Amino acid sequence: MVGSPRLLPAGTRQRGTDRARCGGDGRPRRDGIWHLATKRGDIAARLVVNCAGNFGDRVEALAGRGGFTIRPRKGQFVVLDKTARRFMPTIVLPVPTARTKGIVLCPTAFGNVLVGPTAEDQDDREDASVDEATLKTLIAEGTRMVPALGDEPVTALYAGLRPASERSDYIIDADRGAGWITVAGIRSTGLTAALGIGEHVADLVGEHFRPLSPIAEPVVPRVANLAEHAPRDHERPGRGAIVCLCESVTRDEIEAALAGPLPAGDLGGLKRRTRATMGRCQGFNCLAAVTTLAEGRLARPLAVTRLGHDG
Amino acid sequence: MTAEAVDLAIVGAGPAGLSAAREAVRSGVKRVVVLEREAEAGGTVRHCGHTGFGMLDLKRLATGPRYAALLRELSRHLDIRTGHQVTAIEQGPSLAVSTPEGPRRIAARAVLVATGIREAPRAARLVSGGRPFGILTTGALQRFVYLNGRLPCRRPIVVGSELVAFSSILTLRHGGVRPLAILAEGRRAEAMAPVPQLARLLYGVPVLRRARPLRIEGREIVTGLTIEREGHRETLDCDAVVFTGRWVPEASLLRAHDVGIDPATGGPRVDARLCTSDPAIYAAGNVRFGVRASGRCALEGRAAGRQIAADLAREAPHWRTKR
Repeated sequence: MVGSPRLLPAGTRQRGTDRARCGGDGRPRRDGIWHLATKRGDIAARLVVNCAGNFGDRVEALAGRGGFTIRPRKGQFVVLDKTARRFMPTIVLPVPTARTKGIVLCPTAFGNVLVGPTAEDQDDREDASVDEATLKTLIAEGTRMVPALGDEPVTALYAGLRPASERSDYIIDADRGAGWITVAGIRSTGLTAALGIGEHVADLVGEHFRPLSPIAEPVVPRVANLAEHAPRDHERPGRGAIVCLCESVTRDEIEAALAGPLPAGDLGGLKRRTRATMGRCQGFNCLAAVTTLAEGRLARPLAVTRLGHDG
Repeated sequence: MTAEAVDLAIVGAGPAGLSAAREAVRSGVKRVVVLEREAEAGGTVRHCGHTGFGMLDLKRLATGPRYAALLRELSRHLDIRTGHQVTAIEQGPSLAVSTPEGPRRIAARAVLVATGIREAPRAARLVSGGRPFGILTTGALQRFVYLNGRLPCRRPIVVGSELVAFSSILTLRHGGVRPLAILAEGRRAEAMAPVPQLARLLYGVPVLRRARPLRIEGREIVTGLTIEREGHRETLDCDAVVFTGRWVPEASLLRAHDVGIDPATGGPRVDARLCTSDPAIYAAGNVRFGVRASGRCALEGRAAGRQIAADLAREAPHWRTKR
């Protein structure tokens, strides 16, 4: 499978999500077997599932296939402070137009308010940068719908790339003769649909190729609850220290995210697993403590040096 | 959950909170608790490694950490609870507190919010670009150097020319690094400020005046900063950007409680008694509107302690029956 595994066989220890690259020696499929060259060595497979997101068409081309083009569609977001939540009991959408459903105001599971997204087509496959003028437009649009938001501080900014194709629907095709399943062009509904799509693709494998037998002892990585509606780790008696004060992230939560079968591979992974440094101070209070905890334990080390003398 | 009842709950054990607690106890308030979310009392001065603290309130000159230690020493008789994070102020007033023993509730006759300030991070400044490692504030940098003995950069650019920009430069020097440049932004007061001049004269840091950060370059770590300077754009190589100043009151507890906030400062509106729009909730120190000398905050904390003691005495039942 080109992408990241959903279930890991017992005993494997994956370091973050490293993008596998599919490359060939000119003939990627010989005698019914696909040969995939990756950064971690070659892989031979009877069946390939291409779910490479923003690189879906590139992977398709490596296999000598075609039929669609991915053009990333960037979405920028502004995250407002948790204090904005008191004005936003529910999701608010403007009346949609033919082109877009517009700027959405949305309370998040973590207690913030989200304003966005934009929909900007671009050629770059990886550049998820934000842009000041666009962010100001988002805030103005949000404030137009709910004026009280105008006084609320901005906590964070981010952007993501949706792997948009020229088709409006998902591309999910099984090519029985070629031993190839394409799962591509899945935009913003993909996160919601991911588990259902996964099951559907598993059914396609069984239907067109061979039935899948369940992994004997699957390791399903568990992530601590980060949402506000259920108890958080900091509410546990005997919790120990809180490292990230804005998001109430405990030292235990950070330690857990750095260990286990699927540990955080970089600071971004650690942030997404724990929310550390993602609150209103954006690391003013905890960035140093978080990176010091993570020292020597990330696949990609941070550019932090230890001072020779006692600080 | 049964609530613990106190006379005065102080949120934040920095110079203002500790000074207020001492003064309130001295003025006769019986049950005073200070709630501090960090593992150690003292506040932001704990990681200001340079000197210049203590003159106004303690009449002696000390480094930030030493000043914090002096404040702790003077407060040894107080009920200071570290690792206690107030998560909400509710009607009553009643405080929801996350403690190492689990969630607790504290009902107080009066609450003093002394939660201080922090610098506006990159996000709040809406600076364009990516989100690589190396986007810092002075506070984050100081904690790397003074509390963790670590340096997160070698070739940083410092943005801003408030006094704290100088703290950034001193902190970097402590780690053996000279910033590539200091960006004095376009706002008039800042562009004329003496801090960049001093940085240039004392430490040879190049000053770029009337320059504005436009875009952060880099995906994994910072590789550059694109700036706009007198109508021109250029990209400077660097491995970190330290955003300094533009202080923001840490007033979210008050904001969420719908206490009146001054939109110009982001801090609570208070009257001459340091009382907010909720008659049982007071505010003192930098949380009121932005950066002032720590000694100034300590003196204001003392004033708040005396004021709250007087107000509580007035409304005490035995006082009313005497009247």
